[in-house]
Amino acid sequence: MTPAGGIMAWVVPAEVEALKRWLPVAAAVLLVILGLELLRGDETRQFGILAAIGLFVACRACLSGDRRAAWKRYLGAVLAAAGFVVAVQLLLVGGRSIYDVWSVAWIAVPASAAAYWLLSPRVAAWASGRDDPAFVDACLGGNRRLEPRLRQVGRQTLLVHACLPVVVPLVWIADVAVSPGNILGGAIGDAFTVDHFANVLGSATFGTWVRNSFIVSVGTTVAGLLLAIPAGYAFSRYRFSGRRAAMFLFVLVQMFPGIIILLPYFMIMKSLGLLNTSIGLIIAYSVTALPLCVWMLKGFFDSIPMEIEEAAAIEGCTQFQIFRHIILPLSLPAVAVTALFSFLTAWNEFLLALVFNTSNDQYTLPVGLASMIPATGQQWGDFAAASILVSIPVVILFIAFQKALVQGLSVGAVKG
Amino acid sequence: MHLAGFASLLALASIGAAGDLAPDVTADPAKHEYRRIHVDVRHAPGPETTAYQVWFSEQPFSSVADAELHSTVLVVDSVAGLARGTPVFDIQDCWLDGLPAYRDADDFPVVLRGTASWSCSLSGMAPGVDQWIAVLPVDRDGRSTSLLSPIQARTDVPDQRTPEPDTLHITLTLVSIVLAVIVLLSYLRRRDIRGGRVQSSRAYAYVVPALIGLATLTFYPITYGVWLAFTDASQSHLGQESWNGLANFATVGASPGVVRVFLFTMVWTFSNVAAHVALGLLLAHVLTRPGVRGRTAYRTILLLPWAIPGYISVLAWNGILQPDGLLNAILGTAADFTATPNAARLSVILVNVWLGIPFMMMVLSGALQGIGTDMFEAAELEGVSRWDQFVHLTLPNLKGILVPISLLGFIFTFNNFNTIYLMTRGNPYVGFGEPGATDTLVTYVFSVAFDYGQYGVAAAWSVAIFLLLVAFSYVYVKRSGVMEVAR
Amino acid sequence: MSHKAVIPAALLFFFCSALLAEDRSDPVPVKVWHTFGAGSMEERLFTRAVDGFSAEHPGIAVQVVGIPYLQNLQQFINAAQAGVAPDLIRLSDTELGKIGHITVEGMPLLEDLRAHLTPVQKRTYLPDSLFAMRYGESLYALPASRSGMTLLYNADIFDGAGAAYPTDLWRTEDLLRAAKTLTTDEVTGLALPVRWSYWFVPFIAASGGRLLDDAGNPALSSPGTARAMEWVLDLARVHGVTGSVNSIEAMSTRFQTGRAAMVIDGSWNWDRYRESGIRLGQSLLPYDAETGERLAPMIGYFGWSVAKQSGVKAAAVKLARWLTSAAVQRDFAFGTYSLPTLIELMSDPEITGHPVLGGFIEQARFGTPTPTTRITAMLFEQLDTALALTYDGSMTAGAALEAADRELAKMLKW
Repeated sequence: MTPAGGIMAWVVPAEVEALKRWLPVAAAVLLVILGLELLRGDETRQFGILAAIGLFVACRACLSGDRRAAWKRYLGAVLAAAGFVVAVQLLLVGGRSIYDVWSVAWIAVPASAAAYWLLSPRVAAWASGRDDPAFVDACLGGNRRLEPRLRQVGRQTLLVHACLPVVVPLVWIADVAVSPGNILGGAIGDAFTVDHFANVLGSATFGTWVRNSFIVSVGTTVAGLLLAIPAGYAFSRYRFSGRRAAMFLFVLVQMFPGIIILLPYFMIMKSLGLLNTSIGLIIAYSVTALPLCVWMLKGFFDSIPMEIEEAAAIEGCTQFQIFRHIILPLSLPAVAVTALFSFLTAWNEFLLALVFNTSNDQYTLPVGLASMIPATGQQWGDFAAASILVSIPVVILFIAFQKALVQGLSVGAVKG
Repeated sequence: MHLAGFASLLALASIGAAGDLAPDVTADPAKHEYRRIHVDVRHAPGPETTAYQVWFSEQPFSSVADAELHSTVLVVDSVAGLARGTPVFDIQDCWLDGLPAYRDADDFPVVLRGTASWSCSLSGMAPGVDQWIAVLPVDRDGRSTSLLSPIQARTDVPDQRTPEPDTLHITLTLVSIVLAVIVLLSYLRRRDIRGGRVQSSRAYAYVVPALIGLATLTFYPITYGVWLAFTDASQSHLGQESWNGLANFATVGASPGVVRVFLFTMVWTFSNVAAHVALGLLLAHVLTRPGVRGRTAYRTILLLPWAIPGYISVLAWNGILQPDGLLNAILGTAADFTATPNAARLSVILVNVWLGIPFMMMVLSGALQGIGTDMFEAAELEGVSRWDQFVHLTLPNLKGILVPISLLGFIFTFNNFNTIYLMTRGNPYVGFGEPGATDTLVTYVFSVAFDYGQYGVAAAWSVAIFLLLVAFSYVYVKRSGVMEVAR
Repeated sequence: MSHKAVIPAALLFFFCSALLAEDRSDPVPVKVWHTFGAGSMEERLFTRAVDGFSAEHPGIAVQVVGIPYLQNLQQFINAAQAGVAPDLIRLSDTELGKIGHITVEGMPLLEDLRAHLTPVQKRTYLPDSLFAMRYGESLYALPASRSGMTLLYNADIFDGAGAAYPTDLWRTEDLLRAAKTLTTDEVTGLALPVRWSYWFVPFIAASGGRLLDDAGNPALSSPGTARAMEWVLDLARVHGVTGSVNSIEAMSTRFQTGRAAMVIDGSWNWDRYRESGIRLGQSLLPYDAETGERLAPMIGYFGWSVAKQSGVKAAAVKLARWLTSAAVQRDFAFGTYSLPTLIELMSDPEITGHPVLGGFIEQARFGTPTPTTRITAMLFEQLDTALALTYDGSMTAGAALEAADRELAKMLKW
């Protein structure tokens, strides 16, 4: 490697970098698809995908190594083109279901991108070893334009694939909710009705469940924060005897399997007179959520530099002022995360809400939904509609929560 | 005597001819039982009499129209072919000559015509209330053959009730826990102040509310659970546990399949936590990069598995993984993903991964937002690769969050019950009397406790799990150094 | 301080007023737990029945609580241990089998109702129904309803294939032959979750096997049961006529969406199937080809139990009697197709001649008797295991059934 080549070596067209990164990813995805194909037992497709994996690995090999060579580029392009041909063949021979098209796309798109880029003038120039300043300038300029776009495409691909497994079960639940009758399963989108939603919203009990869940969840969030923020702050900022023991204690109490100690818990609530009350659940949930909230907040507080507080203290701020005007705004994302965690703990919790409440007008949503399940002949449609309705407030909360996250970010930017 | 005849009997009995003497009925309070009145009947049935009817009411009555028919005792000329005895399940005991009465094919008590006396223990009598009881001989057509002469009787044998459990000791325990926490902390505070740690009192003030809440609600149950592990607690005698030493732990150690369950629990826990953290971090990282289009939408969608109550999404996954389900429809296959042990194991793990990612993603998003952008800008200028930035800048800054979150994730996953229980109930079966292929320690503890009613053994399992987790956490926390004060 | 004084004052006031005006005393509170699905037809009928009772008995104040069915037992056991059990609770025979042995402070959970009934009252219930509500010597519930399965078929699929509808004279061979004829790529001949003991039990008695011997000990292992097991599993393994249904829901969904010609199912799903537009037919289960005995499904019973802890047992029994009365049972029978448990309703032409109820009542005469014992409650789990292990080939049917008996014997000792 000549010194000049050494400098130019890291001026690599963004296309090449992208291929280096994404061809192995494509090969890995195809490996997963190959597994699914083994399940299906379609030998043509297995063979095609195996071939594509081989071609991608080979194509990636052509891009590695320190020595650039035109023949490597041509070989790579040929391999990629061969991959594209495999994809077209599979599409012609095989089925056209969503899954089929998606799996073929994982061959066709990387293959065609690789072929196109490897044959493009920029890559050709790079591969032929040009390192004159004009090329470097052009290359860097091109990269500056191309890189953000490629990155965007990469991220979108990742995020879309991450969202797919999330969306599929939701579509399934939504389909049950809007299908007439009470079919669990069946084809997606074959029929439509809003009867189930009307049934659920029309019943008086559903409103009661929603109200109880709201009271308990909001109460838990407030109580949880009031308990956890001071404790987390103390653990982060102060030295005191028993500190470590107390911190460990917070996780320790989570370790005993809860099922076997439900009865004594129940007895405590009974002797405190808190059975069949919202307050009983709020206390129980706040304490359940405490360990995580305290530890999480402690971790967040740790990341706020002490110097800010010290400076404020020198300027005469009281402890409360420091906390209220400096710590709290800076840790807003953490507080938001903690609040959301507390809220959802209460919103989705089933077992304690069931055991502590034996009065229908105290049921929270999860218990209410469970009480819709009879011994036989479940009303699946109503059940699915209700579960969608249950999630709506949480989704709204999520969107609001994102604002808090972003706000936290801007505050964080100010501090720097 | 046939049941269909009762209605007509009721109408006819009151208007029957009164030829015989009324039976001489006496109640014997010494033989009354709970809700049962013992009556001795002396009467010589006439040739017309085929049965006795017992009538009763809580009011005095002079006509059977004002009373309720209680039972019927048949009168026969011969007991040939009939056996004496009380069917185990019958609710009326009758005696003839001090021995259980004969019974006919329909289980009606039978007395011989020649017998002058018999007795019955009449059920269905409310205690502490006066009852009027009449025995009426009737003929084949249900007409009474004597006058009605009710007697008054009552049973005062009280109701048997399960004693109310005593909650006083629990209240006392709670009070003493609170007092103990306060006393301990004030002692520590005084010691700290003497040692020069002046900030201590404020710290204690901040920690005390959380600590008292935690101690009040969790100390007693855990102590109870540990105590239970050393008793013979079982569903067959709840509330009457006696000390059992280490016998339950021996049972635990000797359980078939214990090693397999333990190994699967480890695989389950580690793979879940690793996937939660890795994928959560990846998604959080991507989502916090500047310039991601549709960030809010993606983040909201990706958080959804957390928004939907877990048992609903598990149910949905169960449906999707069915041979008839959506996944098979998409793939064009008919595989049963929960039928074979390994496929079922993989399925439950994947579903739980799906459930757990959003929480990790959200927490880590929050943590990533908290890290300033300036040092990354500096690193970018220095030409540090993104991977190195991630490893050397991002991860160390996340440590304060990653360590506790992964530790609690470990504990929660280890003790997770819902996913497996709702997905597979621990099935598929591996063998008789053994935990199922997807049973973890916790789901197995549940079945020991509630399917087999072995509370003591289940508590011993719980203590073992507890100790295991304590040991693991202690080492983990100690090694990671997250307990330090921020500096 | 003032509010502390209020409570004793109020108590004193109530005490005095109770003494002064005896007939104006407070109504007796009776707390009832039921497990009808919230918002379901059953719940509506139940509420109506309770309203009727309250109108008739102003001295009793009924408090109704719907408990999630799956958690019912655990809730009840917890509540009983804490001294807050309901007075009246709806339980199935299987549930009775699971909790009959439980004692709290040396007392059973439930009240033995024998002393509460007069012989005349007892004799209004069908003997089989009462038998199902007994555990050991005790009568732990008043039977309110029962249900069982018959053969349901989709007449359109039969017509489409030109096959003859099932008849009450079918033998198991006919069932298999029809299932084979009707099975296509789209349609399953007989959607049957073959690995579920609940669907296997009907075949046991018909093939000469039994669940328990006369002494009540597990007796799964017999040549007849083993033969039946192989036959049922072969429906899936060899003949491939059961689809790949492995759950109740998969089975129901297939039939409901017109992708199964026949199912063995209960009356509770009747409306669900009919509402999906299926031309529904019903026939008795076939005879076993070798023994000539008709397949005998399990009959499930639901009843009303009084807690041993209750302080208002008389009122609770009164309510239980009301909830099992002819009028209420008729409402439930017509509204939800549950089968009655009263003798007088068995001769009611409106019920026996009912197009849906009639067939199910007829089939219920052939039910497999399952005494309500702890071992019965445990038996199905072991039978499930035997079916699973035989299905995947790790054991033969005979060996699996023997192992199931052994395991059950071991469990009996606990």
